[in-house]
Amino acid sequence: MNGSAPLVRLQQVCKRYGDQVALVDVDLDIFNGEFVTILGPSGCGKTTLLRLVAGFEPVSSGRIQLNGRDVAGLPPEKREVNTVFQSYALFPHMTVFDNVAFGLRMRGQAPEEIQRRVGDALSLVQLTGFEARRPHQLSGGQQQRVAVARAIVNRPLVLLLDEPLSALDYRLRKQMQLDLKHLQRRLGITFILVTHDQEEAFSMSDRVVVLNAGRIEQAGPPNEVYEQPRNLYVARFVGEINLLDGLVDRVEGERVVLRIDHLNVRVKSNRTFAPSDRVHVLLRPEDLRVETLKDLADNPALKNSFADGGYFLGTVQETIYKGATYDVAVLLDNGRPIMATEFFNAEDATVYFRPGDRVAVSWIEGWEVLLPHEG
Amino acid sequence: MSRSLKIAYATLVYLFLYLPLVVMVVYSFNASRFSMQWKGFTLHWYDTLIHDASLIQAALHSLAIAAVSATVACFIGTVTALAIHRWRFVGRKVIHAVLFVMMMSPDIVIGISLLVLFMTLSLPLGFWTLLMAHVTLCVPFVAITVHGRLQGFDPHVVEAARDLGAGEYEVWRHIVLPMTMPAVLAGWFMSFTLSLDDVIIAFFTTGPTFEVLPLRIYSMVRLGLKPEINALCAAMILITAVAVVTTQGLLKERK
Repeated sequence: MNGSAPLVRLQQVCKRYGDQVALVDVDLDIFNGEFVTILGPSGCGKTTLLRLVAGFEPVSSGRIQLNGRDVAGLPPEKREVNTVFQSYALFPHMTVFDNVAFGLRMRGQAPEEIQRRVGDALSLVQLTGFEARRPHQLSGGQQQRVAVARAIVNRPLVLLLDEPLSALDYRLRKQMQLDLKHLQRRLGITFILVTHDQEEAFSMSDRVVVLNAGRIEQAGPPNEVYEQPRNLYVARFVGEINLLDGLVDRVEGERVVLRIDHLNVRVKSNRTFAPSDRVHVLLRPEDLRVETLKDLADNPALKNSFADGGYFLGTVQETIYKGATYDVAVLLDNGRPIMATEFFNAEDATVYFRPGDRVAVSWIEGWEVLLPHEG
Repeated sequence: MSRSLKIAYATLVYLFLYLPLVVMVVYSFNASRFSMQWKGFTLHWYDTLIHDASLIQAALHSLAIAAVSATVACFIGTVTALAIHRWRFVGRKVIHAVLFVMMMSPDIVIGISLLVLFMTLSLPLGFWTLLMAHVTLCVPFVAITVHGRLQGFDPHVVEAARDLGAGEYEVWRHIVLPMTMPAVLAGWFMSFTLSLDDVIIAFFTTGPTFEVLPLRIYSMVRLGLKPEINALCAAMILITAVAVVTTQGLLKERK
């Protein structure tokens, strides 16, 4: 896939509204058939990015290429790109059929062709039989599907989706995430989706682009973004994170020996560090291991398997029940709060820890991420 | 208890508003020529009415002026609304504010100022001056009604149409115009009623060559109340009521 030319290429794209900067030096290549998600908080410029590609607004500087062609000055109606709007933007005075047929009619397709393709598109989104309805007679989920059908019926090179699921309730959103993903696989159309929901981004896309304040922080496959965040911002945005501060003691090949409080910890990192660099150690709650001091004392085998590199001591503050898992909030003796996720035991479905328990905290070696200290 | 109080209150309000009209309509069927006494039911006054050539002439003038001025005002008002909605140009806010000022201005001020203008331009008072006056009266109502509807639209609808391949013309033709049409028609009926009911502006801006119904009624009343006038007013109420109901229906549709 990476050998071919990109379908969408953004080079040094900037967008300013007066003094306000929406996008800064965005470079991004999107390849044919990819499902790319632009992930970021509201106001980070992700919708602006879509609007630039769709042609609703001009870039302030930089270039956008579609299928190898520079699209500067090309109005939206001349771009082989279609958009699914957050508000759906269905035409209220037209039936479902006319809504979906609009793009084909604008391109002067023959009536039989329109009939056939609208029928196909509606059956793809499971709305066969709804042709004569008006948008206001449909539920939110159905309106959303009409919006998708209206866009894909034109067989665009790229489909742009601007937070298309944000107005739906949780269950429907989950279902539509799957449906959209299957639709994309089936049609082979390149999708660029914008969302602020990291779960949505991870579950649907081939590649996630994390945007912050108009800049791309990281772009890569979901697991890479989650497991190897490039900086603290990305790490925090894509999930819960625990932070420990350390100092590089010495470097032993691929391994780095850190000094964190009283402990010497040996960790792996693909970054290069020099002795006495300050670092952050990032740990996901599910990577942490927590045992009570009492259990460790009672069970030497457990203690041996627990952590040979040592552990931190702390006190359980509270436990938060999550259904399949529960979170344990621990205040370490060094004053740092830590959140660990625990699974229920097969034989014991009760929350094991109690507030006030003295515990030892360690982690599964090799699952930590090391980042240079950020001011 | 409180329910019957509410009903009583509502009844009083409606009586206050509509009793005079009801009395007038009832007396339009009264067989008595001079007194206010009930002398039996008759359609005689309606009969005299339709055989009074000069009165019919005035009524036709009124309807013509109302229809033409409503149509012209609709055109100007709709274009104005579309312009202030679609484009951000210098003076846009001023136009928007001026529309409200014009809507709120007392009729007598509009009437006299137009009279001064027409006299300065030495235009003979008649059909054309009255038409211009009524168009001026109606444009703000149309513009504000249509603008209100445009404001209610999802702004992305136009973008969606562009995105699907519609050029500027197709967007107007297939999206903006059909979506604003109910408001435009409502504006037309509103204008029609305004023009039909206007006495004050017409008083200043039309001449003896072109007499309209409200002015005619006004001069008739100066010579005393006649049952024909009751009948005439009853007929006008009917036309107005139809126009108002139609306007409401159009504005409510597809909200």
